[in-house]
Amino acid sequence: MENTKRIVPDLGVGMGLRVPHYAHILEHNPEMAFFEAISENFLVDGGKPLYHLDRISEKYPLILHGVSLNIGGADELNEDYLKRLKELVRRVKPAWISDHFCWCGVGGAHLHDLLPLPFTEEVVSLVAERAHRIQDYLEVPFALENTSSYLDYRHNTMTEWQFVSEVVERAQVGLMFDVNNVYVSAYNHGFDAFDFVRSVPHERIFQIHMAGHTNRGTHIIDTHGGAPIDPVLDLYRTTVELSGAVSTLLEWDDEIPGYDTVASEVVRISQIRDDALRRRAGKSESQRMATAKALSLIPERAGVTLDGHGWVQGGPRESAGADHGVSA
Amino acid sequence: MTSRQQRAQAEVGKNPSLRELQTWMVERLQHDRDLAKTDDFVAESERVLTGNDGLLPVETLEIYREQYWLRHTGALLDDFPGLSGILGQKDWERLVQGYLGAHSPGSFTLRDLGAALPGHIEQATYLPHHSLCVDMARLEWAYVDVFDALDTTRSLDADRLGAMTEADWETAQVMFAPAATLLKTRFSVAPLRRQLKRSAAIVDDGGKAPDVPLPKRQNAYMLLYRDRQRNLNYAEQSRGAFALLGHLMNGDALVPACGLAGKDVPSEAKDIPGKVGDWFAHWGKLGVIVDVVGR
Repeated sequence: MENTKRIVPDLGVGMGLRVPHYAHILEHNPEMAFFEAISENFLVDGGKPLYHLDRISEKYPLILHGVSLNIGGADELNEDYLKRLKELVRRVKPAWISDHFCWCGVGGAHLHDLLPLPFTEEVVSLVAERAHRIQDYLEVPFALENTSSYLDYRHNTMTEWQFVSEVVERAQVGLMFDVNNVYVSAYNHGFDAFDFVRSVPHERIFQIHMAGHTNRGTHIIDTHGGAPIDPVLDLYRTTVELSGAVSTLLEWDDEIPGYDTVASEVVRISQIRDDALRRRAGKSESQRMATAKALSLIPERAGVTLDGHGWVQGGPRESAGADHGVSA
Repeated sequence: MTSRQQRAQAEVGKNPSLRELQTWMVERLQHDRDLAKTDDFVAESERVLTGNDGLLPVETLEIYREQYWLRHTGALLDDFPGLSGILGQKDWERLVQGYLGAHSPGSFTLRDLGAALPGHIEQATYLPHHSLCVDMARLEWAYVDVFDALDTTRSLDADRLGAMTEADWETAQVMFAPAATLLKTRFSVAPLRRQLKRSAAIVDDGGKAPDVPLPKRQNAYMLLYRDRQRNLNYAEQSRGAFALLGHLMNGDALVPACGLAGKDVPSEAKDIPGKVGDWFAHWGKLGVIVDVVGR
């Protein structure tokens, strides 16, 4: 599969598919542009997870988002994982799939975390070669997401946005652009979030992620708890102005509220997106750059109190322990 | 030297290869104490990580170490609510720390995290209610396997069953749903698990002993299965029915399986042939038997 610059459709604004919302979705068929499911929760043989996924994919566009690929791990890629993922792709038929710029383990260990990669030429080559190969193997457009991070390596030789841009261009894959992650990493590492937003190849953005986070003063944890705060929404507005109509998804994984609460945030993001697209239509490139620079001066809104240390992306798994069978 | 001791020697220089860096980090993130309290960890973190205005390099690494433990402890708690309910918070945390220290997560999915826990608990004789814990862990891991086992597309054809002759049953093979398994325990742990889940007497109750009375030793013979709504369930079996199910699941035809079950449970041997019809009806109703095929 060659040259995957924005070959994916714009699905609008959707929300992450989470277990606490299954019953509401299946019973009420609420209006939603699309859902995104965490791939690993459905790499199983059968039972409730796949039953629910099938029912929902019959009614809504569904995208798959992975957290365990370990594309930047020093070990070889896990062939069993990729084989199962390909089976799931054939079952769901998503318009694209994604995973993260990260590593998850080495030497046979898997830590189930999105650990930051060193931004070096060695790692650019490794990840780009693998991303290209994975996209060909899965036979579906593939995107990688910029992660939030809490540590920085001394031997980095480039910025994160240089690293991300180089990989997606060299691999000819998409960018899953997580605007909240840009904000979190900018806060933690002291760079200007708008430099990141302005510098990535906008035509390669397949999808945008939005989420809340937890500010601990000295650092921000990417908990996916709560709604996106205003400065993240400002970054999003600029991203849309630079990128055009890109599918956007709200993730909410910590202290997940009822469906309607999340859906109302989706509506708010849709309104911002519509506004940004209108501005894009009436603005020159130089005007957009000026706006981006001005917005970088807005401080973070105070009062974020949610805390979800140790969260699992995708929220709770549908598991045997949580099964609400009559007798078990 | 154990693999764990070997890993403990991992060091990292100023410009490490990707494998050197990741090996060092995996070892540090799996450490069971605050990294910032060990001088060596502080020094090596400064060699590799930058830190920032608010945090020392080792403190940025510590964020990931905390998440490692919380994430995996939480995943085990999800899959073993009965076990954690028996133990209470303090003993549960001790168990999980020992387990994760001995069994580094290796699967891409958290679903597999507890696979070795039943075996680990057998060796953890320091645990209170040790035998009961062993049984509960075996039950809860069996439930994990039943929960997402393959769905079946077969369905039992009552007309075809009714037309089968005695000779057919000599050789016919009974087919079971993949989401069905047998478990013999020394305690009646399935009802206990249900009670513990309902009472929420689990680890976040402040570490107090669970309110639910623990059962006395009494063998239980259980058929674990997924019902037609895909919910987990169990059905206690008589010893004879359990023995017969075991042979049928091994692929023995009905008539020879009845003979083998009678040998396993001599006290019920003469009753088994007369009860088979009712047992079959019961298993069929549960959705556990999905077909009978001739050979």
